[in-house]
Amino acid sequence: MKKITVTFILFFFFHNWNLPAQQDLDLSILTLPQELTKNANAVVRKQQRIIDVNSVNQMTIKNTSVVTVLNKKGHQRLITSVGYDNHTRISRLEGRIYNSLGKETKKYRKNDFIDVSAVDGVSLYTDSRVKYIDFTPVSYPYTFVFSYELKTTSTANIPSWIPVNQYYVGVQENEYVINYPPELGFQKKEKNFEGFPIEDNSVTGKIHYKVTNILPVKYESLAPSLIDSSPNALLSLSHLTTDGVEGSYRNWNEFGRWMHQSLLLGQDILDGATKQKVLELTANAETVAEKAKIIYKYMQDRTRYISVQVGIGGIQPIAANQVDRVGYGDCKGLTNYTKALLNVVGVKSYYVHVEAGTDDNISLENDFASLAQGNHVILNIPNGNNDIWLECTSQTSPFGFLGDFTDDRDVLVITPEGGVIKRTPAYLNEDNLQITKATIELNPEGSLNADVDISSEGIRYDARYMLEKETPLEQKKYYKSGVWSYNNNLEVLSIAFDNNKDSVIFRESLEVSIADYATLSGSDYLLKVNAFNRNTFVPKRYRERKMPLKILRGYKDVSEYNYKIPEGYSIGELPEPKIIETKFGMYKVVFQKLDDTTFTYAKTMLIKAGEYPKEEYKNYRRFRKLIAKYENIRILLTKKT
Amino acid sequence: MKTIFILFFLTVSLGHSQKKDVTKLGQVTMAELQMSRCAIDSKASALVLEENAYTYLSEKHNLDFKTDYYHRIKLFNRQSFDKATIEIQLYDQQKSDDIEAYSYHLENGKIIMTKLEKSQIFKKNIHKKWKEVVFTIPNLKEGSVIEYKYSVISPYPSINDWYFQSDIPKLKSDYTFSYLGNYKYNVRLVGFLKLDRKVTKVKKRCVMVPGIGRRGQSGYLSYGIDNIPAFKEEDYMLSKENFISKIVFDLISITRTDGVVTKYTQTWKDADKNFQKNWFDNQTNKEKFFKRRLPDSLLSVVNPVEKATGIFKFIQGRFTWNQRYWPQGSINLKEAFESRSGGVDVINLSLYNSLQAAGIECYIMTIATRENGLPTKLYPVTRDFNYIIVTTVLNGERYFLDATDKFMPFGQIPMRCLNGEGRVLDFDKGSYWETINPISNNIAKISVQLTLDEDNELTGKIHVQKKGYLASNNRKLLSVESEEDYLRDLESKMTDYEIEDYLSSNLKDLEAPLLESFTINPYEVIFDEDIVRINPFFYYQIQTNPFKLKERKCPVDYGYPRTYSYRITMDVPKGYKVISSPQAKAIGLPNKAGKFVLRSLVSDKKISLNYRFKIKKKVFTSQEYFYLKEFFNQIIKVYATPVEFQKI
Repeated sequence: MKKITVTFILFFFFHNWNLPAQQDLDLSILTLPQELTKNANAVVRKQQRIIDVNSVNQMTIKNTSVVTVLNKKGHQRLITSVGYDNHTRISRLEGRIYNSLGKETKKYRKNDFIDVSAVDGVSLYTDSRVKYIDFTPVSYPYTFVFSYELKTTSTANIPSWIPVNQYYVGVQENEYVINYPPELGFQKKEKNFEGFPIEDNSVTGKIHYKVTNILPVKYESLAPSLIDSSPNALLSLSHLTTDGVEGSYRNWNEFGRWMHQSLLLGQDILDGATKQKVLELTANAETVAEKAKIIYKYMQDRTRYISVQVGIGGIQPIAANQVDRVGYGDCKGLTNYTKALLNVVGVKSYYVHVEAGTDDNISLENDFASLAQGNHVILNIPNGNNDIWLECTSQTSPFGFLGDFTDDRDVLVITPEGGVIKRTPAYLNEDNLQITKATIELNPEGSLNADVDISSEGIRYDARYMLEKETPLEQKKYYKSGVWSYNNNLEVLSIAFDNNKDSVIFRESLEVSIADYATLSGSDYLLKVNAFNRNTFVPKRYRERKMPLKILRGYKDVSEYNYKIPEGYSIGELPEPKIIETKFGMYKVVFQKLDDTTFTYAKTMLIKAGEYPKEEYKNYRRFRKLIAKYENIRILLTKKT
Repeated sequence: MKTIFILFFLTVSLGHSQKKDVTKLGQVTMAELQMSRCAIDSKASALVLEENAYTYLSEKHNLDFKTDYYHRIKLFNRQSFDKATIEIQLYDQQKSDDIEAYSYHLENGKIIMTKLEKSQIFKKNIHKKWKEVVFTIPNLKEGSVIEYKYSVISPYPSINDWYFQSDIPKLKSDYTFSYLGNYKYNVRLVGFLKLDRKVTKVKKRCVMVPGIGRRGQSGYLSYGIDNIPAFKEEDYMLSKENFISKIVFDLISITRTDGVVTKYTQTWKDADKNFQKNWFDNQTNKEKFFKRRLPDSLLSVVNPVEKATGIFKFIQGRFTWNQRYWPQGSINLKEAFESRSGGVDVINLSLYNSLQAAGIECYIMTIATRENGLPTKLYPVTRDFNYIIVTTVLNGERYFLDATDKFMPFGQIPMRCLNGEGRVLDFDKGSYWETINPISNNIAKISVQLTLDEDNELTGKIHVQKKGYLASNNRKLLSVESEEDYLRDLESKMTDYEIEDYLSSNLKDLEAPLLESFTINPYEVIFDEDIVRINPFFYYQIQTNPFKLKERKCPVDYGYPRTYSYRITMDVPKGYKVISSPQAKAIGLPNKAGKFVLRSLVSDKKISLNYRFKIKKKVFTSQEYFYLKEFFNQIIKVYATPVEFQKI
């Protein structure tokens, strides 16, 4: 399902910032500029990374970082590790700790570092390793000087320059140098440089950036990612080597051609029996979609996700016949396998690099090609104007459904003719629809019995359809302690699911009871009307909001309840209809009395995705607060006298 | 733990058949492949059809222990496919051998069998001396049966626990152990299940020692259980190691063929010595060193409680805990004192030595942390313990001390230590068990003063006073989070309100109660014509029942008793009268384990609600669970009652 292959050489992720041993810096905290410590957990005093590309397959990375850590949080986020693999050797490694007066208190040599397998939590096996140290600071602030040198034969992943890659970190100085033979060619893409004091001394054969005094950034919820507003540069050679394979590209088209020629071609061989089998299976299918659907199901039933990352296997899929034999593979292997199967039945499909993730929809840079972009592989099937996209690591996903892991972003489609940027389908606002219908019967003691029917589409489908596979105990827990935890005494009497994979709608039909739901006092019967879809989320308050407001994903909720009141009670005045409309969405509640014993409650809530200036944050908060209030609306039934 | 070396000076050969046939691969039956659901647990995603292990001394491996494992598992659906990935953890000189695995499934009534390829077995260096051999069984289908075997060869005499129970049900699980009589073990069964099979045999004169002849004896132990339900973890429980069914072997001693006996644990006397010598690395008599380091002003205090408190604070302030427990290897207190950081062992041994240096009678107490499981009381098992604290009796009162946590006042130990009983190590008179009683004054006093003005805006003043664990938890939070984050979290727990004028005091003074005060800013109250309804119970209240499931198997463990007492007062707004308010109520748990008492006082001008919520008992058994659940239900019901005012 949601699994990312941690393929593209780990150490670049572990380290975005580094530079060389220069002890001319005063390490005492007395010289620390005050403005950099405000809202800071740590301050990068100096960071220097010098990369010497000696040839297409020889590169040295020298790093020194000097970080003053101000508190425990800064310590927890301090990077004290460096990764390596079979193509990368750590030639020098040292860590030193200085107290607040700048006196050295501890020194770690290379052998003092702990060496472990780079456990990514997903892979069965990976050849990436990490060296790190773990120490306990006795007081704050302290300063950590970390320096190392790596020699690698892989030149494909030149680390990006990201001087600010954490919240609550001030940067006093950050310098980045790459020396490369001009004949290897070089591409770069600079982002968000404006407004920052960046010195750029790059010339042919050399990239050289330097920046000083960047103030710490505070984290705020519902905001764009830090990288969207902080300076960074993406860098790549035009001629390079990765895990012993040479490559050459200046744009996505050339990149795609290289990938196809060097890494994909010949990986799609299948043996006769399997070919025969899928040809038989699809014998009666006519259209591309029909055939693809059969193949997708065949693949899903036969495989599971297991990741093994060794050498070039980090970027090259394992051969299709190997997947066929063992019945497992990672995203690359399973996608390539599906592609090979489709090929047998005459359906053309393409291998796709994508940056997967649910926290943000990250697109590949259209005008900058590099191997470092993308962390996942999916499959594209050209189908007129209606391309089919397949997530091959899931054994349960409906055919053609991507979900929030890879939807709505620019991806690289690798064709034999070269790479092409395409956009994956989006699940927008109303697409993410959830309808909750309930017939509710109240009894005089204040308890209720209800038949509830929930149908979920779009991303809402994605969030719930796995429920079907859970054990009954977990399913009950999901309702009692999860979505309906606000209903104490809820008992789930029966559950039925209907997972319609063709229309991608997941339906839950439940019978529930809630003891003591209403509050009885004297002749009053007080009732919270919205029993089954209460959305009382209110964004956190910021006394001074700094970042724009970003609502990543929109959705729509519809609730329709039919209430039958207990005998001996009467319906008083029902609340007036309420409609709240803002730029962020819409909220509407309508009550209707049907007869003396029944009334209906109808709610519609639409939240729209969007980005707004920071001033709008408090308006959005007000909107959600108002909604929260109405979500808790209560009505009064009175005893007949 | 210290590494244990065993040397055999003489070669020994086994005279009787120690070998037992290990289940061979290929036991899969058609019925198993056709099985569509688990008979003993219809909802299970997988079922262990058969598993067994046999541990014996292997002649081929220089008489090292060899364990042959065999497993056959039915996989009903995809949720269980992770059961086909096997990780074998190996330490230092341990080796794995004879790995073989197959998957079986039916295709058109025919059995398809797929073998694990040798190239798909991976060996990882995890960390230092730890290795892992890992493989995943290929070609799985829903309904497949997997079957695998492997062996582990180990030169170490410690035997792994055998878990009869896991997260999936089992039809048959067996463990057999055959050993030479020169190894002595204690065996114990943990958990709720009973053994279905038990064979214990002792054979005399079965060992052939060249030049000496037949002598010695050997043992053969075999245990099995059938139809084992899956073990399910529950919230608010102690470590699952206390409840899961397993068989445990504790090494007592080894007698070498030359007659030399190496004792591990046999009596508490041995254990005490072992703790002192190996685990504490002989660092229990460093009083002199600490006496020189302790400030004279501390040593000259007369009142013993004051004196001990001073020393405790000194050590607590001196050291920063490195998050490690105990023992890592050699301990050097002098060095640690200079570097100012260390593990639990270093810090609490320093505390012990310092108190000794000051002439305060105190003892080291070995305990197990909550996640580690309760130490067995059947006989001494040193490996059950993973933590040390210091205990002392001053003016007739027992104190437990742990200087690793910066937020613990004198006499309070961290939550992780509140786990059953510990062993007080009196090196002169011998050790004894002592119940780890938590401090009892864990109290929060909350006063809320509400005012409703003419514009129907509600404002409030809130004062909070906390003691004991309730205070230290809060102090910890305040020290890591910025005030803004802290307040935001607080606000998110009472969505309608926003906090202003927040003040806290006694953050650093651990002996004093933590004080917090703030106001909640105006909030517009919901209207229903002439009636105004306000829920006065909004601050720090339980809104949902933490116990939602119908039943449970393991006890609920609270760790420490707690009391919350509230005083809510509210002026009746001008032009309104009170028409209803929460009624006086008393709810109690059986045996005075907990209670909730609400008193309500209503006058023309003022409403005041006083209530107290108390959990007195630390542990609630599964039989008491229902009461506990209902107790919370009743309380939540009270919290849902509003105060209603009507316009006059």
